[in-house]
Amino acid sequence: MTECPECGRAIEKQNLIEGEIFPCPDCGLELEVTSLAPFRVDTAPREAEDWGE
Amino acid sequence: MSETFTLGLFYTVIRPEEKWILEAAANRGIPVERLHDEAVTFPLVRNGFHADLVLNRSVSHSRSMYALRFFEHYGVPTVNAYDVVALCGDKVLTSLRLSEAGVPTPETVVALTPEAALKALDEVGYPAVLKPPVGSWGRLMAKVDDREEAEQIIEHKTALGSSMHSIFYVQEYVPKPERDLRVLVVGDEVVAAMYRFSKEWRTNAARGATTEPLVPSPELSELALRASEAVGGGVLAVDLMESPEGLVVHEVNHTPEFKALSGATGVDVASKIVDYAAEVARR
Repeated sequence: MTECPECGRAIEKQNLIEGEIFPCPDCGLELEVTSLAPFRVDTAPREAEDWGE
Repeated sequence: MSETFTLGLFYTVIRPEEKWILEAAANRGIPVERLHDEAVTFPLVRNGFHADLVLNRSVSHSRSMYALRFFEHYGVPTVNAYDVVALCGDKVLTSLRLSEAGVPTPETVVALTPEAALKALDEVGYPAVLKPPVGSWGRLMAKVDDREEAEQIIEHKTALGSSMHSIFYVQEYVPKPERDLRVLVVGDEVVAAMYRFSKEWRTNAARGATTEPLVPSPELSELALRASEAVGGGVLAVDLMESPEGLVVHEVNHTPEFKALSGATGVDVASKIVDYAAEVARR
């Protein structure tokens, strides 16, 4: 268990994997799983000018 | 099915697409080496990774370009190939190649200075579309309705100061229905297609377009395959518009997102991509 860096909501590991991005269920901030053991999340990287498909 | 190769996944973030790719590889017994584009280093002599083939899922065009060139240098095949990404990542080069291959594409004029951009817009006629040569998700594109608006937009682009905004890619505005078509080609197969609907002229899923599955007509499939072949083939999303003169290809995307496409069509795109990567690795 960790918490959203923006709103402090508790975030459970569930079936998340390292590197996965997902929205915080409360504040909607895009988060990234930066580590599984220990479980850590941080704000997802911001979109850069050359990002795309 | 058990495979004897290790799949390298070069990625920026794990979106649903990358998670599905990892699952598809796991279901096939294919070991995956994760190569995070923020962490990997590239010496001139291969060192420190084991992948036999690298599947590029980085969202950064510049990171993809250098990384794929390094993998090529190491003798590691990639999906897609460096040349394909170099071409598809640059709208100018894509338009040239589509034109050379006789694939119908909107009228396009490129200008290298702000003054020439105004001339290019006059040549194409208003309304026209102004796009950065590199970029995606419909970002920083502008529909230009008249000369006055053109002058203002070009002034703003010039003020941005980046090299990306000092080359002007001007395209005719295609009066299409409120939708475009996306066709996903994997190797020599059309694996899925959908309509993207938007009230806005840009129909990118990233901009909130809604989607509907599409059963591709023989004409659509043939055109998508020709566009894919023209740029070198691989895993490619071909975007088309219905112009009054018929279908035109306006983009070929080299690292396609497919969450919306899989959702709309039910096609397991991730498995198709992993199977194709395995096929390329066996060559």
